[in-house]
Amino acid sequence: MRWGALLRLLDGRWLWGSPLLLATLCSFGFGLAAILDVAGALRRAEGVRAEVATELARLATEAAAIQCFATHESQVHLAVGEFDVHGVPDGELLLLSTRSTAGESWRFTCRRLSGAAPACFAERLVTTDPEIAARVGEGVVVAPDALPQLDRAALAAAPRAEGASGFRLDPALALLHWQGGTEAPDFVFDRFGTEGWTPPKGGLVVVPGHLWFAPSVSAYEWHLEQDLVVVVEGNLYVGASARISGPGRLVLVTTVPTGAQPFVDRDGNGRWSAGEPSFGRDFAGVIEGGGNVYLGLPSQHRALEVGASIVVGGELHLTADAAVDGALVLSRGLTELVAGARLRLRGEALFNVQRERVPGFCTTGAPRPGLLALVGGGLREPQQPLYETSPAR
Amino acid sequence: MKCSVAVRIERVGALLLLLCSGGGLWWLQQKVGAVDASASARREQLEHLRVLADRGQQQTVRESRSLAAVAGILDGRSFEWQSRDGMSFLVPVGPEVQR
Repeated sequence: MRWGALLRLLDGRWLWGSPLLLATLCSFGFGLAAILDVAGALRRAEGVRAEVATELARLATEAAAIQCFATHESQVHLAVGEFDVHGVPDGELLLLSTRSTAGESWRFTCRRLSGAAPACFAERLVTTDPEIAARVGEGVVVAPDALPQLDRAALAAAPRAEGASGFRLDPALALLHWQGGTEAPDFVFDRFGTEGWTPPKGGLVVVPGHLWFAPSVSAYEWHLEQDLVVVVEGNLYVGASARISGPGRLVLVTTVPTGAQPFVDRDGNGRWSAGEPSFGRDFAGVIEGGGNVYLGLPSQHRALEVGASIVVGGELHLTADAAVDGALVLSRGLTELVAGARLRLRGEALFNVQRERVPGFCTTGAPRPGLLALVGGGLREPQQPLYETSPAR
Repeated sequence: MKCSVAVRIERVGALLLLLCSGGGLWWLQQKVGAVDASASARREQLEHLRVLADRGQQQTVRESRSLAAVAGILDGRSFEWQSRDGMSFLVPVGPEVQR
């Protein structure tokens, strides 16, 4: 008897036999779907509301931070719209806590900057020669005195490549690629040493010689947590692509050291030859010159991707198609050693020069706050009780 | 095959219940859709505001086009451009920035 009842329950005829029960079950399902729909919509709307509130708080804090620098006071308390912002300096940082009239609070922090970074780091191409801008099809033409200036004091205090992790001397590398090699010391980015690389704290390294990206099929790949400026007192030879990930950006700068001179390497042999124009009265110093940049090498004509900004103190030589992610600043000229070599400027790693620092470069303008970083936000403060609670007697 | 009155009432009741609950769900979904559309419009406004603020940060001089674009941009809220030491920044309109 009991087995018979169970079988009748399982065959489902009772369900179809009673439409009211079936309709009730369907309604229950509809109700559940409605609750889920409404909950989802509420969650999405709350997400947008929180984002809007945070953005408004950021704008108010931004205004307060800028005002704070203008007043030159150590602690500030400002009311901006519906927000109350309280700023306290902490070493190189400014800590800002923002509270809305609705009781939400956010905490921001920003770096204290001595001024604006050189404007060229916000441009894809900056050159002193209008003919180059016309040839590349874009670019800002500036006077030579508008080019970015290195901060000599910062350079003097910066670590040198001999002692910094990620670089090593390689006396043989130049001989492999240039007949006769080079006279100045050759440093190479240590591909293996730079995996998990922690660049120097100040974000500035000086290379007292030439710097090489050793020619390779595979690219250099680094994760940078902070911006890094590498100042090369010599030539820069890029024989492999470099890809940078993380919030940090790489800036490569070539300068003309004492006892070297940049020149236009028309024959592409890596050394000055009679008749090649040098940027001086007569060519003197080391035979390979200084301040020049080679994108691609005679033995390497693969297309290159350089995930960095490049400030060229001498002549830029293009031996292969090259894509530059950051700013390209040309103090002199651009020479294509291979006909048809193309330069692509992606502009993906530019700087917000008004609010970001480029280590090692002189700044202009008044001190200012850097970009705000949200360190904690959207916290609703607990309701204050009307009466203090007291233990029961 | 004739049905009893009770069975007919039950069937009509079941049909009504289904219609009401289905209609209710449909109505609610329309409302949810409207709320979602409004949230997505608000998010678009927010993105526009972010773009303007970023662009403003990178400008040394305010642009009149940007000035016109910030009135009533988010929930009818207005912003004004301020500039200091070559930096432009957007401020939610309210009481003047005061110490």
